[in-house]
Amino acid sequence: MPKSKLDETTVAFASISELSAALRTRQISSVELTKLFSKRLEEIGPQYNALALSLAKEGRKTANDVDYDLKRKRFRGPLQGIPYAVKDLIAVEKYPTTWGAKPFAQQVFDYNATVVNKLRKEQAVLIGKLSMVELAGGGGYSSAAASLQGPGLNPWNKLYWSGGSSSGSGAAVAAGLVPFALGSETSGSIMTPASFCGVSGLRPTYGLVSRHGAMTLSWTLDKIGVLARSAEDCGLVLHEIGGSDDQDSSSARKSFWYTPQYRVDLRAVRVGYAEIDFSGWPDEPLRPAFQNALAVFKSIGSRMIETKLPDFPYAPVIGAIIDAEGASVFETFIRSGQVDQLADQNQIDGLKASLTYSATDYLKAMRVRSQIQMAFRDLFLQVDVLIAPTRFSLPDRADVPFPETPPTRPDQKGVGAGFVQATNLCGLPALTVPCGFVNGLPIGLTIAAPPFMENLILAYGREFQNRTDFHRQHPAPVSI
Amino acid sequence: MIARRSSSLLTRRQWTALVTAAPLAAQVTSKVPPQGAPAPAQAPATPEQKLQKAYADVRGVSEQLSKIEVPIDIEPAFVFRA
Repeated sequence: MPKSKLDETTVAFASISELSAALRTRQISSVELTKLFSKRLEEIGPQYNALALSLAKEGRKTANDVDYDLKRKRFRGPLQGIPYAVKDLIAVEKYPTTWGAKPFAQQVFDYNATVVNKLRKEQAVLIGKLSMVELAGGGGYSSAAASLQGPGLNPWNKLYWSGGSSSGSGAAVAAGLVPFALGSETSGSIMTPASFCGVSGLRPTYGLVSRHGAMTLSWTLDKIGVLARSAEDCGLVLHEIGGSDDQDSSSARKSFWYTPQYRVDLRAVRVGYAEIDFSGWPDEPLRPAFQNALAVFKSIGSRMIETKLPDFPYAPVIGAIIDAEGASVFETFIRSGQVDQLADQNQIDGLKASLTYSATDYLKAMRVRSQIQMAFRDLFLQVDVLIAPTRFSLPDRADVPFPETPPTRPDQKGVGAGFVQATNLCGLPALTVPCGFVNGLPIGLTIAAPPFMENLILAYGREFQNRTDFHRQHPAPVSI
Repeated sequence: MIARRSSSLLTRRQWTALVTAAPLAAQVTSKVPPQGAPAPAQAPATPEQKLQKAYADVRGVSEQLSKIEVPIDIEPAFVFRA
């Protein structure tokens, strides 16, 4: 516990802005903050199988530097002195970066990922690496146990999965083990754990955040993003990690400035949605909560336009692209037989089989992707943002294989069906915010927009969170 | 970096299994059968059968992609944003 007057639970679940204010006004020191979060991460993290590696000692050094600077009023940005952790596919110099997989348990890089360097420059305090689904799920996994640390457990109810593949990032933020965490997404790996764990998750536009130093699964789909307590916090972090990077050939060479001060008149914005996504597609027990969330969203006063996604076979298209690119990335690993050391047999088989995709298959998928992108450009002539439930179901159980048979859904499609795949194929930014609870587990609402419109979706996230308190709720505190 | 296997949204392989089990529509309007449709094949029992199923899944995706008609002037995506 810090010597400060702030109690542990208040600090553990405070926002970045609140913590930053406390640091600047010397209510708490960065060393105290780092000690508190490191202790929580080390002691509570394993309860959720969320911790891959503690970097508490390193964090203490950074925190000492921060306190030295704060004492002399050398203020940097709002992340100065704020502890955080990264998904264990992001390289941290001289420490293991396991990609969540046993065959890579001893892997050490001699450089930092660009996002780590950017946050270091801002004096954010890295205190750990977080568990993940092995190889970010490449190959396809059959249970939550597909991880070096074991199944990611949900802080709201440990019987349930925390989501994947950024499992530890979702759980750590939800349980108050870090104020924010970095995750990554190829197709749903930020949005899903953020939604399942009841935190805010921001997947930036493809190319906005450098991937240098992060594991590659798909060159044309991977993104690094943020899981945090609120849309506001996601914006503050993106402000620091976004921007051009010569070391990442996929960099969009764009800057990102988080600009909440420039208020958008949301009443003039056109929101595309489908009623059936809230009334018909979610599992029955989730429908009232999603309908309530839609009502809150409508109360913002934007122009709500009933719409649906262009009709494409999103799943096989993105599947072929991820499989083919992943097979190429991991070809040596697969052919050498090391792949057999993975925890999940489905992934082993899936990666082996992925080697058999033909160039024609891959190029066909990429040509359909072109069509999908064109269709979305047309769709965004009619609407400015799209919203839908992040997931239509509560998380699966963590202790048994995922169900083979999916639940029954309506024939009629709106925005939600295929939303994750489609928005990833188009490299669109998306934000998920907690929008209710069902049986004690959180659910999320996704807001997506055209490329580089992060400030717009963050404005919606802030407005939604001004009208609700779901993001302020947290699991029962675990004291240490 | 893939979210997988929750009952809320189908995984790629689940989709593939369902889609390839259904009559394939041409072009991009192929209709995915209701998600509650029974699994098209019995769960494989042995490791070898599981591996063979994974190969069959890839062939299924390949077959489905081959049936999508794309105009000849459509190039592959070179920019990965809409």
